[in-house]
Amino acid sequence: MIFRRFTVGGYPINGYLIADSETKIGVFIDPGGFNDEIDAYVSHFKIQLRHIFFTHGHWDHTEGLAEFSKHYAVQCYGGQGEVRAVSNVLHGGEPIMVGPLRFTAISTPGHTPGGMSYYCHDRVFTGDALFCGSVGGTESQDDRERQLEHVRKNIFTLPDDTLVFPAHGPMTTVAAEKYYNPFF
Amino acid sequence: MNNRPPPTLAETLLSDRTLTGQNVSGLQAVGTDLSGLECYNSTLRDFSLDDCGFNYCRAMESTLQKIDFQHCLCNHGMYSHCQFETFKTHSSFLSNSHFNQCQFNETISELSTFGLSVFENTTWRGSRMSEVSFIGTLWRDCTFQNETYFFVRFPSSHFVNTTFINCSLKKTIFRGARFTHCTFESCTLDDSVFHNAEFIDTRFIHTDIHQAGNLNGVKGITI
Repeated sequence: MIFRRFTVGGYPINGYLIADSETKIGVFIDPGGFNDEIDAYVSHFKIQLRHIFFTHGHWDHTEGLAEFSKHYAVQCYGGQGEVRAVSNVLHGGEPIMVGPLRFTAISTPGHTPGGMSYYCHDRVFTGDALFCGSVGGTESQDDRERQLEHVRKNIFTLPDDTLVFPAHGPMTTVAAEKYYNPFF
Repeated sequence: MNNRPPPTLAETLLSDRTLTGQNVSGLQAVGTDLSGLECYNSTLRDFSLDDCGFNYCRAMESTLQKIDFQHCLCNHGMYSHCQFETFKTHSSFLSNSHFNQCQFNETISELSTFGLSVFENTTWRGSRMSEVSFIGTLWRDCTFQNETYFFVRFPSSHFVNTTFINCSLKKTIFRGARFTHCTFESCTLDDSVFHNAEFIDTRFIHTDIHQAGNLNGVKGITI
């Protein structure tokens, strides 16, 4: 698997590029911005970037979509009501094939109503639903409880060694968060 | 006649896996798996590893100088009596590792994690760290000296007999951490977070805990 984290956007977030090392078919998760580093990496590894996944629709996660669309013919995936450009609306539980790589959409609402995480192989991309030692902000206590419940049910049930890649801050693991994140 | 080119340094390391009393320098590797490397009484210098595996490595009484990990997986390591000089990590995992009687000098780390690691009798001096995670770590008889942190995270960590001297701990997160017999001396704590932290016999010398941005729920000290 080809995998790279990029810092993207004016309000910097972590954007992630994942591609199959044989077919080179790939996906970019959270296109908060586009830059020469991404362009060079895609060219160097001859990646066929065909998919964009959104964890949610906040502008810092979507602002680079126009640039990505200019450079690559991409299909967009995301939760209901999050991003207008999404043609593949997800509700959680759907498998998504990126070449031979099998991703699973995981519903993690709370930070936003249609928040989505994505699981593939030994790693999960949690957007703003789960950070290292923290969680994303919510607008109400109900949303907060919904967020914690979905992370407990859908993320903390993944294998402990699963690598967690949030949209902000350092990466972590399911075990570190399940046992030591003070918000749970 | 053998026309095979001589093995690269990475190939030699991969075939031997164990270094004893050796000096090895100048390795540049991309996408190589060096997991399981063992290193005793040796010096590794000027390594630049990008997208490499370095899991389950062991080092004892060795010096690791100018080692640069970018986008690497270096989990489950065991390091004893080692010196890390000008150690650089970016976007890398160094989780679930054990550091005993180690010294880190002039470390530069960004967006990396040492989560769930154990540090004993270990000293960190002159580091600059930003967005680094030490979630769920255990520190016993350790020293942090002249460290400069920005948004470094120690949630639910436990510090025992550990001293922070002349450290700048800006926006450093100690949420739910526990400090037992610890000392903060001449430190700044701008906007740091001690939410629900617990202090047992811990002293603040020339250090103003009120610089912290969040002291809600702290136990063991009078605010």
